Amino acid sequence: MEITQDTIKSFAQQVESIEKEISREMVGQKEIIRQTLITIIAGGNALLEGVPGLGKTRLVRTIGNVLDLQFSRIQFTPDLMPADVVGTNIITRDQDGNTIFRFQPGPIFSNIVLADEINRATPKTQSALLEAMQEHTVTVGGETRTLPQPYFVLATQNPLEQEGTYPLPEAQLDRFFFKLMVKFPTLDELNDIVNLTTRGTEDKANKVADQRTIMKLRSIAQHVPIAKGVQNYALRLVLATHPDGENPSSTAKRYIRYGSSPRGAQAIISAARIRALMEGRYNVSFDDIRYVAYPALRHRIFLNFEGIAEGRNTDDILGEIIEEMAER
Amino acid sequence: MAKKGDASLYKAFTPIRRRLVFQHFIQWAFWGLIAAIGSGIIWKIISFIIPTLYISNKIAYTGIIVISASLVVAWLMKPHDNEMVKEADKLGFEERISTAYELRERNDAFAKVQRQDTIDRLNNFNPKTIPIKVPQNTILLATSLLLVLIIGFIIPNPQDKVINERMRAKKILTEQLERLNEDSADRLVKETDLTKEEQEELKRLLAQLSDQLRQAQDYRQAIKEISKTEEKIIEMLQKAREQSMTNLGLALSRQEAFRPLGESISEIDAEGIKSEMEKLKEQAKNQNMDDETIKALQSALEQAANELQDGAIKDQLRNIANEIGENLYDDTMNLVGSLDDLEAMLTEMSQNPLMDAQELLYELQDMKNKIALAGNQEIDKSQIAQSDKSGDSNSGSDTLGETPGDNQGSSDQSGQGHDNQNGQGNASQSGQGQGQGRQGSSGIGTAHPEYERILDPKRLGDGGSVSQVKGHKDEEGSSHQVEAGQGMGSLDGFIPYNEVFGEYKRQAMENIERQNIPSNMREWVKAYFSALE
Repeated sequence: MEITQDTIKSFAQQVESIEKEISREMVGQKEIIRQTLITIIAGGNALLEGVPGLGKTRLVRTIGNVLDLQFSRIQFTPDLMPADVVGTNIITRDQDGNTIFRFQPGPIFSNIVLADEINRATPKTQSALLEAMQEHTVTVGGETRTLPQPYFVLATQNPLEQEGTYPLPEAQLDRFFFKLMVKFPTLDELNDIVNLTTRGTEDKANKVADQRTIMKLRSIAQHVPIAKGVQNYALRLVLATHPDGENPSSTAKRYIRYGSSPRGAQAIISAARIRALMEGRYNVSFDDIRYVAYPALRHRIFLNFEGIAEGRNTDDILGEIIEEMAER
Repeated sequence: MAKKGDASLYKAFTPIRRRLVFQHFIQWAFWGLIAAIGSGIIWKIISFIIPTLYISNKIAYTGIIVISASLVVAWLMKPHDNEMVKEADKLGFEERISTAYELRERNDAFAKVQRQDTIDRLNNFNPKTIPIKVPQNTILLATSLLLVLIIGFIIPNPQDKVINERMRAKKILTEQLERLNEDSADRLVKETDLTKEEQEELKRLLAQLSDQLRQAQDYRQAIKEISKTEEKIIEMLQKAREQSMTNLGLALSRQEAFRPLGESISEIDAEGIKSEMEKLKEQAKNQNMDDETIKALQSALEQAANELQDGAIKDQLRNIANEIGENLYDDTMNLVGSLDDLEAMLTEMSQNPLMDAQELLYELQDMKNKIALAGNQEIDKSQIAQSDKSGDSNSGSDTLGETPGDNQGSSDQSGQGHDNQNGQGNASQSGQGQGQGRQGSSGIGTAHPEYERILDPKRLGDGGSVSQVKGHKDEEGSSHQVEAGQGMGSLDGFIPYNEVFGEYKRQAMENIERQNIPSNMREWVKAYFSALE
């Protein structure tokens, strides 16, 4: 696709219209909406963490509607099997009456997949998502099938009920582009939610984009220029999360067991590019890096005993690392 | 920002770049100012430890140099475009400028859009909003340092006394150097009774002295250099005189009748000369000296005169020879008188070798006195205080005026006596006045058993208030008073005057006897010493 000055300039406008449309059904959570859109445009997957009832499912459904994308929802439970997710070969008869194996696609074959309470499934089932999330393909019975594009997995997990859950392994967490923390709405937002949902006259979001739009936006975002100093800042930030790295921050040395993988750096740069365009800017700034660093890195760093014992959370630690990091 | 990339971007960035460069220079200039004040403080501290002349000038010059150097460093360390675009981005451009700078040679759609966006932003930016300010800490530091420097100027500096002393010494040295300029030196040298070679040597010594005085750091060194030159001149004069005496002696020795006299002259034996001359005078009185002998004496003296260098001695010898020749057929007493003159001349030649360059030596001595005076104002004041304490209560006169000076150069005609409160004037009148005035005001007598402390005459080169007697012995002479201070050393040089009075008087009487003092001044000197007794 050819990128022209007009298409570049229309990026912010298009994203703004999507955001506006989503906001018709989703009250508040503007940052979550924006970061989810960043994830979709970047072609990544998001892990949402938040207590039940904050509108996670609604968000995904609304995005699906607005973007005219196919949406499916998987409720993860301990007895959920991988085949329930990816699909399976079933024995059936063809038109001639011959017995054949036919692949029955699972709910994963959709543009947007909501993996609700992903940590309730067994690791075996969780890992069924790995290939789909990373490669956007599914292999069943020795046959690899491509998932529709754009493809986006939005997994949720409930931080409260930890009984009988299977925390996501580091490898799987790393596959998530962003980890988004869904906060409880403010009083005004809660008021709006109540008003919107209890009158029976909810606004319906319209379709303002389609698959092509998303792919075009993705293509444009990949070309946003980034100054060497800014890119270097992002990479130094990732390296600073490594307690045993070249230039670890003092906070990392004290509280972090493992730092971010290179996927963290990739996520930061990609997300920062999109964020810059969303802000109507045609280059990445330090501020973009700082903005996306939290959702891109918070699930990629692992606290050590001291960090856990002191009740530190990764956002605080990232904040301290960012504060230590000088712009150069 | 390189022009080749994109002229419009470069143009849009120029106002900001200028402002940033200006800010850079202002900051460096301010740091230079701090460094300049710091260097001023260092100078001030040094001035409290080491006497430092022209401290304000030094601080000012160092400050100018430091600030200039800081501006040069600022120029050398002028921020590169890379650094300036980063700095400019911090003004709210959100890395637009640095990105555009890196994309300046790209012409794809994104580069164009990004560049245009940056140019638009730059054009809408008012560079005057970039604050040209110096950090508050820096201002505080500069103010504190300035305050310290001002305090440094307010606090009395103990070294100022030394500096003032040096300034005075420098001033007087300059004045004295003018006395030694080429014309003056030539005149002084020509006035000497020396050969051309000796005069050339003398000129060389004076030129050397002039150079050394120019380089002298303080008055002590200057006095030392003058004293060294004096010694060299005296040594030279003595050698010259020895040579003259030898020549004269040899000339007389050729005549059998005057051989003993000739030998005494050659050996510079004053007693022998006197004895031989007495014999000659006795012969003349008894008319035992025949015409042949007188002729021979005349001839020998003429021959000796011819062998001498042109000058006063030669003329004098020739005159005496002529007188003897004229007396050949005249009466005996005139011959004796001529012989008296000859004896006086020979005695003086043997005893006072310095008469050949007395004016020059006087000038050098005077220079030393003036330099010593300039260098010892502070000692002078403390001496006044001491004199006030130990001086008489019945005298309202200035005790400084009562301090006798030393007797420097007493063997020549520039003998020096005591001071008084009078200036120059008539010799005899001032002599009387001084003597009485001194006795009446100095507290010497029954009321004060303690003698006033005066300068030890053996401490040559020291100051003291000095009255100088000038002129030739055959002239009337005059007195000249010089305020020569209290001596260059400590007050250790001052001793009760009765201990040295005898020495002063003895030297004065000796000079009167040798007729070193002009005739009219002799009574003045005698009256002065009598009044002191």
